[in-house]
Amino acid sequence: MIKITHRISVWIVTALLIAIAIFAPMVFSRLEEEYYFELPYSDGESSKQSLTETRDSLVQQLGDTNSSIHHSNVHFNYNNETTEVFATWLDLNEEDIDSYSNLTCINNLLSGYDFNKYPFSATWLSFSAYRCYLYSHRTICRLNTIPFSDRDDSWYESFQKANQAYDLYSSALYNHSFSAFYEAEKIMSETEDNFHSLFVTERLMEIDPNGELSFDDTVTLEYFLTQIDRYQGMLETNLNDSGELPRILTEKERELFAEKIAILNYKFDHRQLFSESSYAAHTINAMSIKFGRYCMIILVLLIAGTSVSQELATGSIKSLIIAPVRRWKIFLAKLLSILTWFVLAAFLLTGISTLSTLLATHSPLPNYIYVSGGMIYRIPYFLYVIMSFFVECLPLLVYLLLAFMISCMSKNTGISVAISTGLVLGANLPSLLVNILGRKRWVDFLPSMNMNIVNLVFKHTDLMYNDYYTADEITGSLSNPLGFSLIYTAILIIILLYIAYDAFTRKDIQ
Amino acid sequence: MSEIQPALSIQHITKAFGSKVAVDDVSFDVFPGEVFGFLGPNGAGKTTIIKSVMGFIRPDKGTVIINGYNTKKNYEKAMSSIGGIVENPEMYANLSARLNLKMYARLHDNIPKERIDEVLEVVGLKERANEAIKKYSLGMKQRIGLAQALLHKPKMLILDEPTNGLDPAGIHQLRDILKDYAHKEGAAVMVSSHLLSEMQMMCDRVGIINHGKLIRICTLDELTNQAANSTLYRIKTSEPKKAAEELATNHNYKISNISENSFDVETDEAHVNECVRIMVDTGSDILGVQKVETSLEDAFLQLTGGGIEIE
Repeated sequence: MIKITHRISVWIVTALLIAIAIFAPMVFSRLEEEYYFELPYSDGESSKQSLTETRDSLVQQLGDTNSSIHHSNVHFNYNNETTEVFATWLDLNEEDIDSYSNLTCINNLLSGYDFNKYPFSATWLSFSAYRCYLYSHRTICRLNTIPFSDRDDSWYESFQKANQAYDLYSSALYNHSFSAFYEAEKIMSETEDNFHSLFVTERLMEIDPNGELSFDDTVTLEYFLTQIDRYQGMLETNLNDSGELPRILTEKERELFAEKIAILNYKFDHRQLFSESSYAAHTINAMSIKFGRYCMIILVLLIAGTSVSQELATGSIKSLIIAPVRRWKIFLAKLLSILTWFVLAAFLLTGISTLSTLLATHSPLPNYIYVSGGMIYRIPYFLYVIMSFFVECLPLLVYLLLAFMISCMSKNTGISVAISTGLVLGANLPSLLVNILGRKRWVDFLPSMNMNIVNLVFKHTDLMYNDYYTADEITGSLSNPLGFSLIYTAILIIILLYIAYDAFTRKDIQ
Repeated sequence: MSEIQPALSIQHITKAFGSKVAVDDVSFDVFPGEVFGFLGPNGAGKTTIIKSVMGFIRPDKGTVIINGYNTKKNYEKAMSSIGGIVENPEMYANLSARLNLKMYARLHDNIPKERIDEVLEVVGLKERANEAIKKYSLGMKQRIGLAQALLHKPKMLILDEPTNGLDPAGIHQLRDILKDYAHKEGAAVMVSSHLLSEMQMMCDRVGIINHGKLIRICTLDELTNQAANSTLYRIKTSEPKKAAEELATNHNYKISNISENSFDVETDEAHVNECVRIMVDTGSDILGVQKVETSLEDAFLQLTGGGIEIE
């Protein structure tokens, strides 16, 4: 029978940590691959197959539409000229419109498109052109649901434009022509009804004039360009429109957006635009590290929490006290040994996890790029992961010192571990509640409001869910500015250290 | 005595825990080359004093000077001259004895590697030095505690109940080790114990503590002699009553403790002869004549008022 001693539990948790660091990236990358949606129509035959299936299901769904479609010759007043136009009116409801439009497009494609020449999702161009092709036809159909009597000049203008776009998109699709696509995009951008931003399309054209880049690569490009576009747009209008109501940009935001644009452009120019899989690599690594972090917390708190109190409980502290060494030196030695464990565990976790990620995804990893004093700097990936992890662990250090402090004060080995673990896992609860109920001045001084430092230091991370900006937006700033938080944390650390030092040095050992 | 610097000098130590005064203005010295016995009933304050000396507890008032160094001003130099065992010696249970000693040696300056083997030899644990401490019996743990205490050749050795858990052979061995360490190596040894018979065989001087105060400090002989009001001789005879009566009524001897086959008579060495002669003359038979030694236990109980305090 194995006695669960402190020593064994430390070994168990260390083993768990290492296992997580090794296997989490592999598991996550598998999940990513499965989740990563199977693009339809990746080659000619399956494209055709897939479309046929879709068509059949649409036919079944719609049933007989003949009675809902009406044609007529209508007189139109446009530009003070009367024209006679053969017009169509579609008497269909909302969802049927979409199905009908899709069906028409698909029928056209199945009769006239060469799937083997340009399978749909092989390149960005064919896939995007397809989307736009469908989209513009849908617009046409929607316009056609408006009764003849309600159609006026502005309707006609929209109708013309939509038709133009539709023709151009067809051409882009059938002939794999980027220029036709671009023309269509220009037209649609004027109508405020476009699928893509014109800016994005223009930049894409620069890089890839023939629309030959693979779908994978271009989605990332699109994301980057869309980001640049978004920030530029907000700077131009001086309005922040990502919340519910638009509001004027603050000075801080203007600065931040300018920085982000500079960084994105830098990345763009240096082609540090990773394919989807390497983007995933960083995400996977970060997820696995976050996951392992909880294990590490427990390990480190176990060690810190029992370090002094176990010696007090078993009485082995006597050897240390009797020795001709002043108590503060013993205190320092214990503190340093815990911190060494902490640092080693951090390196272990990030190092193993990153290595494992490299093995799991076979792709390059992004450097961290930031702006300082108008200049752009780069931090290589490994260094960045370790640095950001340490910054993330700064609040963890606070808990560690808390555990150590309680350990110095009491013989009870369980109490320090229990209190500090409980706080770590549940610390964010009060601040979340308070944020929901309403922000007051004194809330700024709660510990958990000031310990979310990593997002403040590394504000230009690639990870979408780490987007400082988004978090800020939703709850109106989850934390105080960087300087305040750092000073607060530093003061907290000093207080904890002092109390621990005092407790240990003055203790009467009975 | 005043020219020799004491190995340990305790001056006016006072310590109170809350409202209870555990140690009340205690001062004494221990000199090199002697074995000093530290006696007192339970709860008298012995352990508190020892802990104050060893650095476990901070006394409210008072100074401790070890080998000439004040513990407040020169802590490390002072503590490097002292070694000892307080209550049960505890070590890191999962490590071997040798490793524990090695680690402890690191806390001191300049302990050569051979010293560890030396000290293991002295306490008799050389064969089992590489086993984990959790496997040791209580007696062995006491021995390894002693080894640890002796490791850095302290000039002042303090032992709190060192015979605890040792078998008679072990106790005998311990006694020899301590006496040698004091008399041959010239160190000062202070032993606190309840086993008065042991103390009697080991100590040169004793100090008695009760209720936190130092009651008596003197040599062993002085103590036992003092307690004895006078010398008593026990005479064994087959008719004690008859002889006792004779001595008491006709010769004015003080008789006490008349039992089946003996009685005590208060007399001294010079006159015991006469008692015997009187008994022979009056026809009593003499089966034995013996001087009654006052034991340390008697002296102790007398001084401390038979106090066994139950806390």
